[in-house]
Amino acid sequence: MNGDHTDIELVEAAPITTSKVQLQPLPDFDFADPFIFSSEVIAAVLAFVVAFHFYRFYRMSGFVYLLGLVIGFSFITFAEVLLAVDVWLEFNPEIFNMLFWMRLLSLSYGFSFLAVSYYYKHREEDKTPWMMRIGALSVIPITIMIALVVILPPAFDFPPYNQADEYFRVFNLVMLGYVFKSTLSSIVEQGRKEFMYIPAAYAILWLGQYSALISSLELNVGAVIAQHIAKVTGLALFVTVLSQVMRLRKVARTETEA
Amino acid sequence: MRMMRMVGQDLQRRERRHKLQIYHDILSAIREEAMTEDGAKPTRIQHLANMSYDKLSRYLDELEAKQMINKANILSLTEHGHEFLREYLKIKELIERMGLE
Repeated sequence: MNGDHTDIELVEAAPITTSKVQLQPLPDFDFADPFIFSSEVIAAVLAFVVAFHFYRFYRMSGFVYLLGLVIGFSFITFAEVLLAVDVWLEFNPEIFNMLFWMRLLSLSYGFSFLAVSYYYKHREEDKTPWMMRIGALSVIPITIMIALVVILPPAFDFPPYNQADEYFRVFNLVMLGYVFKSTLSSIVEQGRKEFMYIPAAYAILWLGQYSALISSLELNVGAVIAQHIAKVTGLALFVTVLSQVMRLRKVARTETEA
Repeated sequence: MRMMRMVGQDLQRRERRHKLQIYHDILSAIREEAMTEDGAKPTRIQHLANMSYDKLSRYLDELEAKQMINKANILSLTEHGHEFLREYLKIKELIERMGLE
C-alpha cells in the first residue's frame, strides 16, 4: 500500500482520464486506503460465509431458489475481492479499467440474481427448468444495463467512471428495493416480528448502495464511510441470522437426545 | 381480474407453504414404513401422507429428482433423504426467516 501512486492521488486535482475511464480519486482522509481495504476484505469474507451456508442449505433441501442466493452472494463476494485487489494495487491505471467493469458487473449481477431468486421463489414446480429461467432473467437486466451504459450513450465507447457507476448503483438500488419489499411482505404475512433481521439486512445493503451513489455524485467522506459500514453491517446481519439457525438445530438435537 | 389474480396467488402461496411440510410427511412416512415387513409401498405412503395418488406421484418424482428417495416397487430413503429429515427444522426456519415462504 506504499507504492508510488502520485498520478492517482488526485484529491485536489481533476480526475485522471485514461484512454477509457476516469479514475475516481480516493477521499481526502488519511485512513482512506486501509479503511476501504479492510472493509472490503471483511465484506468479502462475510459474503463468502453467507454464500457457503446457503449452499449447504441448498444441498440439504434441494430447493433451487436457494441456489440462486448462493450464486448471488458468490458474485457479491467476487465484487468485494475485486475492489480489495484494486485498492491493494492502489487503483493501478493499467488494470483499473478491467477490474472496474468486472466489479460493477459482478455486484449488479449478484443483486440481480438475488432479486430474480425472490421473484421465482414459489415457481419451482413449473415445467421450464428453473435455473434456465432464473439465469436468463438475471442476464436480461444486466444486458440492458450494459447497452444503456456502454453502447448507446458514448457511441461504442466506455462512459466516464462516475456516469457508469451511477447507473449501476441505481440499478442495484432497484434490485435491492424489490428484495426488501419481497422479504418484508413475507415476514409481515407470517406475523413474526423477530424475523425482521433479514429485511433489515437488505435495507442496510440498500443504504450502502445509496451512500455509494451519493459518494459517486459528489466525493463525500461521510458517504464513503457510510457505504462501507452499511455493507459490512448488512452482511454481518446475514451471518448472525445463519448462526441463529445453526444453533436452533443444535438445540433441537439436544432436546431430542434428552 | 385483479381479485382473481390475488386469489390465485393466495392459493399458490398456500400450496407453497405446505411444500416443505409435504416433503417432510412423505419422507417420514417412507422412513416409518421401511421398518415394517412389507416395506414402504406407494399406496401405504399415500394413505399416511394423506394425499391423492396423482399428487403423491408428482412429489415422488420430485423427491427422486432431488435424490432423496429411491423409487422401485418399494420406496426407500437415500442418505440425502435422511439428511433432509435430520435438518428439517433448520431448513424450515431458514426459509421462513429469509422471507422465502
